[in-house]
Amino acid sequence: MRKIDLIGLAVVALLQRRTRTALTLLGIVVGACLLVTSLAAFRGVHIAIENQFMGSEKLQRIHISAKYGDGDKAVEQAVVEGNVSDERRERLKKEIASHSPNREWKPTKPITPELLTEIAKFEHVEYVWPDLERYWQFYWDEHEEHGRTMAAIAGPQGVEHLIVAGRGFHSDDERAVLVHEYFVYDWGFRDDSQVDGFLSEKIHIENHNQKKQIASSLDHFSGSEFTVTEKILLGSLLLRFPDLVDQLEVSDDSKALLKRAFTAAPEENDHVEISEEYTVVGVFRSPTEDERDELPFGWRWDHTALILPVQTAIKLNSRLSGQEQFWINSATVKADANETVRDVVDSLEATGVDTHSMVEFLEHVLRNLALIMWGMTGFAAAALLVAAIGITNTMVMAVLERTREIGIMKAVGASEGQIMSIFLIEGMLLGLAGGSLGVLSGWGISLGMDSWVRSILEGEFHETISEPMFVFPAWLALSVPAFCAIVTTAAAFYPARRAARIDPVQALRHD
Amino acid sequence: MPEPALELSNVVKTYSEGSVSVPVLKEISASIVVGERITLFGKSGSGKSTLLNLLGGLDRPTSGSISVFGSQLDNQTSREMAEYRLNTVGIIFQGYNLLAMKSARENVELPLIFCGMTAKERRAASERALDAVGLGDRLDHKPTELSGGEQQRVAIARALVNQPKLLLADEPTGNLDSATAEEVINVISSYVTEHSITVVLVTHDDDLADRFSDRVLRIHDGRFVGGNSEGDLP
Repeated sequence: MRKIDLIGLAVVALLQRRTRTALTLLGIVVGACLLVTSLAAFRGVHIAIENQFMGSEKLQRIHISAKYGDGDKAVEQAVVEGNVSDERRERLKKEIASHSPNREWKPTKPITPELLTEIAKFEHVEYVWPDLERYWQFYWDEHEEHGRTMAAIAGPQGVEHLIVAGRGFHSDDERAVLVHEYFVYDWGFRDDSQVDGFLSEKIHIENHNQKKQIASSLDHFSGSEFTVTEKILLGSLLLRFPDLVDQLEVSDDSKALLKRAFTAAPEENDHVEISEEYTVVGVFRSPTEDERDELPFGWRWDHTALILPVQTAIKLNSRLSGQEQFWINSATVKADANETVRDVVDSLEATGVDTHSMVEFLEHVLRNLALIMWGMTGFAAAALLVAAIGITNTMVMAVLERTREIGIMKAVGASEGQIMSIFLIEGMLLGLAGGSLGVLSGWGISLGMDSWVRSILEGEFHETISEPMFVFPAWLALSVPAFCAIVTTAAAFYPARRAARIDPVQALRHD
Repeated sequence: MPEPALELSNVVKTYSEGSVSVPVLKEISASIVVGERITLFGKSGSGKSTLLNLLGGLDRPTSGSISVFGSQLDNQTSREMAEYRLNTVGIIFQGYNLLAMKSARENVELPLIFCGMTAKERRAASERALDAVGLGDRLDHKPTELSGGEQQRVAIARALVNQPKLLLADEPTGNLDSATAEEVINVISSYVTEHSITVVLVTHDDDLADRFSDRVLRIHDGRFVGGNSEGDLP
């Protein structure tokens, strides 16, 4: 028997019972529609999220920061009085250590220049960009300024795209500086044609041990939990009554530093600690909002006055007084590809520093998305299962109704296999047709829902979403009807076997 | 010596309903030669339809053996039985057993579908068969649009379209008036004469049995009795 004739017999049988076939089909259409819509939504949102991150370098960037803690030594030295349980004693020791005036503010795992050099050699690390933001006094000619200085890596990955005159850094340890265009303008280079004339000028960066500077930096001496207002008042009081330092509940080191700042002779007090000269190689502009988002340390670039090469900035910052060992709070490490971010994160975590990366966030989001998707798919599968049970029921009824017809087919020479095939094909056709209609319905519904969901999200986030919320790849459009066909063919197996085993003599007597 | 078409040896058929066994055929033996026209004659419940079902491969004997054109029918697989029904035997039923939703042509084409014939071949063969029974102009009529005699002629065309070597007819005129019955018998008679096929006809019409057959096998209470059958018993 030819396959086309088997299909033909199955189709005719389905068409002869149009209403029942249509109702059976409806169940499959609903199940397939739910299934395809949930999978398409998952696919669409997955792609939208991936595009959001893949399009920029954000996903490849890992933010590392020094790890802080109260330190084992401080915790060990903490004394807990009274009759307390061991568990509570440990908790209290940690709290006492963190509230102690002698509290150590040095991180337990500092990011040192040596660690940065080590990280730069890690496999798949493209660059390491430390955060060396600091306010410095700087001079050009007779002009004295005070402003934020940032560090940037050399090359196109750095800040070359912000340069409006001159060039970027040739190397990370070049004695060069980039100056913001505002200062160049303010210093008299008004016309566009004059800006180039500022290149090769010398900028002096200096650090003065001034009382005001120390007073404004009382944040570093906050062991006794001063409020902001208290710190301002304390700064003013210390300027007038330096002897008050002895009354402060701060660490001995801090006390010594404050004493030196507020009680030393004026000539000693205001001496210049650091003075370095750098050659201006370029003039830069502030980044646009989009450019700022693409740079490490984001908003800090907004009011940056000077930019130094990374190694040059490390050398300069490391010369500041009050620090026995120079360390950096944070840095950005870039992996060479999206696929290698996870490996780089693992290597960085092995060094003991804290890491934060978009890939972890993305993994979390995609994991949650997958959970939602599986939940929705579960509902769809349940709907399909109900439809499949409906098919089994309908076809068992059909076998009963068609008993005489089956008997006649057997009497004229149909084999058990051929009878079984006819019913299995009926089941398969219901699945294929229902699955295909389900895909079409899902696609149609998604067209309406896409704009609806998009309008809600755009209203919520005030942002235009370019990616479709539902994506129907070819594999999905093909696999859902195929899956439905498998389910419905399986559902038809029992009635098909029952039909095949019908006794022709009994069947021919059947009314 | 004529070649045997059918050989039955001690054929027993018993139907069981729970612990109750009802013997329908009791050690029947007979031999029918190729091209012979046999009439099975007996009252209702005598076992003639049961014997016809066994010969048609629709049922299996409880014991004994049935040989059809040299092949043992009783030990065949269900697939071989289906092939036997498809290629060797044609069956005409008293109640026609046509598919009500299909046209005369589609009913006749049914066994050809299971043969694996193409649609074009089936169409030509079914038209020839219906033409041969005088229904060349009623191809697309459904059974409900045909008279009893016409329906039975469609059933005859379906039974003969595969050119079987054995034709089994279970009271083919039982539901027809005498004039129509005559027409139907004439159709069967002319076809089997032309193609020299072996026929087993079941009837309780004495006159028909005498006119149609070469030999009458009388069956009573599951056994062959008297008449022409005696000489043929082994």
